[in-house]
Amino acid sequence: MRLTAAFLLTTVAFAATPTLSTEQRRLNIESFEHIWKTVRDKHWDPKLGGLDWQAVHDELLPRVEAARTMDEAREVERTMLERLHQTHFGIIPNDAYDPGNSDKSESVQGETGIHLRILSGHAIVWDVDGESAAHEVGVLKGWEIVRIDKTDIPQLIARLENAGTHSRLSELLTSRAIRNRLDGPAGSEVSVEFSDIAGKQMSRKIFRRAESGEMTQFGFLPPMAVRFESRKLQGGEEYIRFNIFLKPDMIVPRFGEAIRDCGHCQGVIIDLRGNPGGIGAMAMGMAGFLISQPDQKLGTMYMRTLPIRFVIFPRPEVYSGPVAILVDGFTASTSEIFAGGLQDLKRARIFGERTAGAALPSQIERLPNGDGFQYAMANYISESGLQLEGHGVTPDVVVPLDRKALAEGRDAVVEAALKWFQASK
Amino acid sequence: MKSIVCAIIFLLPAAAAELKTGDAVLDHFVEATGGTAAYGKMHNTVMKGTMTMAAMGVKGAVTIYAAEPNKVSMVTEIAGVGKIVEGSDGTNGWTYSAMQGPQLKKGEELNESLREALFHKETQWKSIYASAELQGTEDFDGKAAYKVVMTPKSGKPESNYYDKESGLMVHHKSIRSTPFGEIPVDVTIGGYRKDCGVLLPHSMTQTVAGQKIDLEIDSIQCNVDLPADAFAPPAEVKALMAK
Repeated sequence: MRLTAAFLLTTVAFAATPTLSTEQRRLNIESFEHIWKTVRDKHWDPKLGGLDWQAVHDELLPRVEAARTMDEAREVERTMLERLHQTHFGIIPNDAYDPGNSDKSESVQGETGIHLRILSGHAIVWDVDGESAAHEVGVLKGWEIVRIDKTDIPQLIARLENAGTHSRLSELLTSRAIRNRLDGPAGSEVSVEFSDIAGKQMSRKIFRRAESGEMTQFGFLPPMAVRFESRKLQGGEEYIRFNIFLKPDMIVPRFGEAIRDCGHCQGVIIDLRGNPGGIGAMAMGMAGFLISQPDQKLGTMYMRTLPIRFVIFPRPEVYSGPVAILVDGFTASTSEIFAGGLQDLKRARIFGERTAGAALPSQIERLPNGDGFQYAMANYISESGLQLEGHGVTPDVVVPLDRKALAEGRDAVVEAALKWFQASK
Repeated sequence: MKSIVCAIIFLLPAAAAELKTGDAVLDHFVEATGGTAAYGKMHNTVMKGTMTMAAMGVKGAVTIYAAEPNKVSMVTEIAGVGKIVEGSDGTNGWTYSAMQGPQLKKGEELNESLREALFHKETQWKSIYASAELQGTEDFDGKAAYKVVMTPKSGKPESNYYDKESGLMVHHKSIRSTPFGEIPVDVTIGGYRKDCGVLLPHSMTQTVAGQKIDLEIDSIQCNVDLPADAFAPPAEVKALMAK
């Protein structure tokens, strides 16, 4: 009987960690070597900051050879990339490229419409999309997310923060880990417990809906939803927000129209809070609606072999009034290039919190095993000589996240920008 | 014995005469691809193909219009990115894309654009280049190629490589002036097929800033009725010109 139990446990263990086929192992090793060689040959710093890259290879190769699952192989690859201590190096699992058959609602990615931020170890509802599932069940800004299904969120945050560096980037990664628990297949249900600012507990069952916005796929980035909004504020100021720098044939013309709509309005607010970046060249093209002087640049990216200037091409019609750019710790990459560049050129005033400091130009390739591999191939230096990676853009006017203001339905960052417009009259 | 030697000599492929000057290499290229008269019968072309950046997973449809004496327009359409237009009407050079907006070329970049626009470059190269100097031979893909350094009347020298055996141009190297900086460009040329009475390349692989861009031309038509606006700058470029 004891023998049977031991056999059963062995079977369970095998079922939990299915072995890879010989071909899959070969492809994983080939992928590992491809990643290692790409960093060796294409990283802008041939010395990799003094890191012994060969030693990293020799240490980790046996581990990828011994990997029994795709997840284990990916973990080894990620471990190798983490030794660089830089952003924009990562592995995208193969299944991210296959969102499934759109006829099957359960295979379409769904969301609740909740956007969150981390404030003193608590996950706070920062925004709720209008017409979203969360909006319909009455989720309000300023609420704390206490539990998602069976996961205790403050405990999760504490665990992740203990493992991390307490940097702005770790906040971003923590919020993504929570967001991953909120998101799931469209049509599926998630139970979320909240606490309002007075400490009153409440729970909501939210049926996730397919992501709103226009789906797009650029290169080897996984499919993503792109959203753009622009509206006039009460004083006639233009407010522009978009969730990502992708789909330039949609975002750039709409951005241009919004700027033109503004005409001689009192100010333009470009809200890049939560915007993770995207296609770097879009920053140059969009800055052209705001800069009339030729031969200006946002900064320079330094590849191993040559520098590439991020030049702004002025549009035929350029808005010359005040521009406020709103940022936070979740503003990253191309968003930082755009905000930091216009700040350096004294063309925009930056409001909010320091950005993520994750601004290395990168590209994504497919690996032999089908996974995506993102790698930074250049460093980026802003026009004022600042390396954005690890530093981010420091706002001209720092406005910390204020839960009380959120709960009151106020946006303290927008208010600060409007106040500046008034003062600049 | 003498007759056997003669027979062997006749059986051996005739070795191409060694060319001594850049002019001779370029003349040989024109002859190898169809001759001056055949080029003279072409008045315009429409090329259609596909641009691929395989490493990044980016692909786009390309249409290139070109016409005598010096007009060219290349339209690349990439899903999710939109149209990217690059052109010249013989006087101006421009690029336009939704992503980066309109740009009027100037200085050396404009000169390069105007050189590119010359329709009969192969036979009229002396109108844009001051010299073509043969700088020996180099191995290219395991085959010997003449290296000819072409010095423009204005601008940086460019290197062209011509296969010694076939006379066809197989490689090009130059440093392009762009607003983003000076960027080395390396182009491998091949897939020659006869269109409009001339051997034209259908395959080009450009390496720019470490990125490989493949251009495969599927069809080339010549002497066709071109769209009326084939060489008209986009509206935003026109607006810049009017400023």
